[in-house]
Amino acid sequence: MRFTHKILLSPLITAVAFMVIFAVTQRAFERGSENIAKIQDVYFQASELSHSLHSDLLRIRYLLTAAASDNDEESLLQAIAGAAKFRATIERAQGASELAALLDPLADQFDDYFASARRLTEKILDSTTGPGPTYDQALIDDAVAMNRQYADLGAALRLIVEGNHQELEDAIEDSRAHIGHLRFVMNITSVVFLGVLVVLSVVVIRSIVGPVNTMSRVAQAISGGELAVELDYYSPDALGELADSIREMQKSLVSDLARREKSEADLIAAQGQMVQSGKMAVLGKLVAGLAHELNTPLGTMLSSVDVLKRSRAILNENTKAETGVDARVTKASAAMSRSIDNLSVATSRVEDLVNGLKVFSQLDNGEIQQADINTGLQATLILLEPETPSEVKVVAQWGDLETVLGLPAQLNQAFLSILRRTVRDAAPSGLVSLKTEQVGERVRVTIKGTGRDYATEELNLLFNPNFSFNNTRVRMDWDMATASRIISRHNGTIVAASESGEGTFYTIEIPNWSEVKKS
Amino acid sequence: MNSLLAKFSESEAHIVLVDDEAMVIDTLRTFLALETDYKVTSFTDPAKAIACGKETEIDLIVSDFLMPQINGIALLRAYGESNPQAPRILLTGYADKGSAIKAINEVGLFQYLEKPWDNDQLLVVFRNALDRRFLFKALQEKIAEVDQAQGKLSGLQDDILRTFI
Repeated sequence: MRFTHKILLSPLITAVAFMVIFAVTQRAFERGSENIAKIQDVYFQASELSHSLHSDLLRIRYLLTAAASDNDEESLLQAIAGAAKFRATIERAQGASELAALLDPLADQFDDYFASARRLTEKILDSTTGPGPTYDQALIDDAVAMNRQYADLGAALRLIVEGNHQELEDAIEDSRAHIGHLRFVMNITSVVFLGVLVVLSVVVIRSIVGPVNTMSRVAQAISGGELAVELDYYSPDALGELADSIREMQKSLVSDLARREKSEADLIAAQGQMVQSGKMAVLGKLVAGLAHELNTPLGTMLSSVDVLKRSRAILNENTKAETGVDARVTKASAAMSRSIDNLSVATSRVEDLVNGLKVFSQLDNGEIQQADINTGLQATLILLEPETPSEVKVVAQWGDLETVLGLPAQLNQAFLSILRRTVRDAAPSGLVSLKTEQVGERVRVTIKGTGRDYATEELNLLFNPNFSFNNTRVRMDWDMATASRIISRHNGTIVAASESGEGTFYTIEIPNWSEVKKS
Repeated sequence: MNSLLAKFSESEAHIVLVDDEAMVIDTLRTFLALETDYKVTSFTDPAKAIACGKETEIDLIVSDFLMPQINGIALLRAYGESNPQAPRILLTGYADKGSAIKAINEVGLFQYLEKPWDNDQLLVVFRNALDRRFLFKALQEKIAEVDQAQGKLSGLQDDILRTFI
């Protein structure tokens, strides 16, 4: 049921309740009116009749009595007229009211009475010649009989009213009972309808508040970060539409979040690259300064060692023949000679280091040319042959490349460093594979080598200057860092990744046309 | 040819060294003193070196590139004007080949040497430079002689002609 319909249900039920109660009261009202009419008809009419007859009767008796006592014929005639009127009234009442049953015997009784009373009165009139009536036994008997009839008549008249009275009481009782019944019905109806209304209201409210609460809970969960909460409410009405909207919102939030997370990841990766090349640039400057500073004392050291050697040679030639020389002088001479040799070795190593630093900081700027990566790599592979163990297999796949604007010698050096490392990791009998391809406006070189995978932390540090423990002594390894710098100087990227058990692969991308950075 | 070179002996050669680092000057001097007989004048202040160049005729000028206030190229250019006959050699601290090439073109460098240098190579380069210097000198002298001889000869010719005419 639509929730607007649910909301309309309560007032509807109330309206129906009112209509029912109204109908019932209307019915009762009609019934009451009927009763009142009845009371009016029956009771008041009868009462009125009774009184009217009673007063007529009294008048008749009075007239008859007057006629009898005063010897008045006129009164008798009036009495007779009154009796006729009496009879007429009864006949009229008999036609119109429900008292016919009571009036029939009344009429007879009256006839009897009047006949008796008239007869008596006439008798008295007839027999009275003097001032007063003469009472004989027959008269008295007639009088007694007449009184009795009069009494009966009075009783009969009263009966009308009384009988009426009973009917009235019945009617009133009926009304009262009816009212009580009505009140009962109304109470029951009200209670029932109220109960129904309450129950219905509760049901309706819950059926609206329920989904609203569910949706509110889901919305809160979403705002709290739980985007996967399921909203299970479906309905064709406005509440259902709200639920649909919430589900739509959920979906778009989820996809938005996914997109945001992805660009965050991309951003972090790019940042990482930037930080790395920034680091390398700073390091490059540092090393360049160092190399520059070291150069002068290095030159002095090398030249001085050379002079020492030459001097030693001259001295040895000229002092060979001397004998009887102080033992300490001999020792000193030997020590000097050894020291010269040690100095030579040491300065030679310093020279190598400074050269390495110079290469790293790329102080040697060559001329920018159009470099053919394939040619360079082929030359590099040839250079590597002497260092490659015989069991290590090297395969290459050459793509169709466009030239790259840059410093070919340095690019070759970078590739040499990476290939050398890959070959070394692949020893003694792994596989090194090399692939070049043109991807859009960049050249992509993929170098894969089996034999060693690097953990994530190691991969992160791969292109930093590191200590190398591979040789007979611990030494600084600048090769990978230099390679990374060269590539970034060419505005390229290098990424190293490892697959567990499958080795490591390097993906190098260099744009064909870009301004090679100064350093 | 040997007669041309016969006049050139090492002890005649006057070399000027310029470098802002005293230890470099000293090292070079020590080595040259051991292996050669060259006369060496050295400066750590390029301004003083230029001033000397204006007053003295020398046979070889060797200068460092990176120096405060006046760099090697400017110094060699100055010597190119004051001592055009002396070969100019640039000593570069780092192989700023771009600058070196520029110097070779602008200044007329004979050679550039990278630091740290190799002593043997240095000797060879100096010898070649001085040989060239003295070769030209000998050639010039010879030309002067020839000119003079020709002058004399023309004079003689004129005299003969005058005698005959």
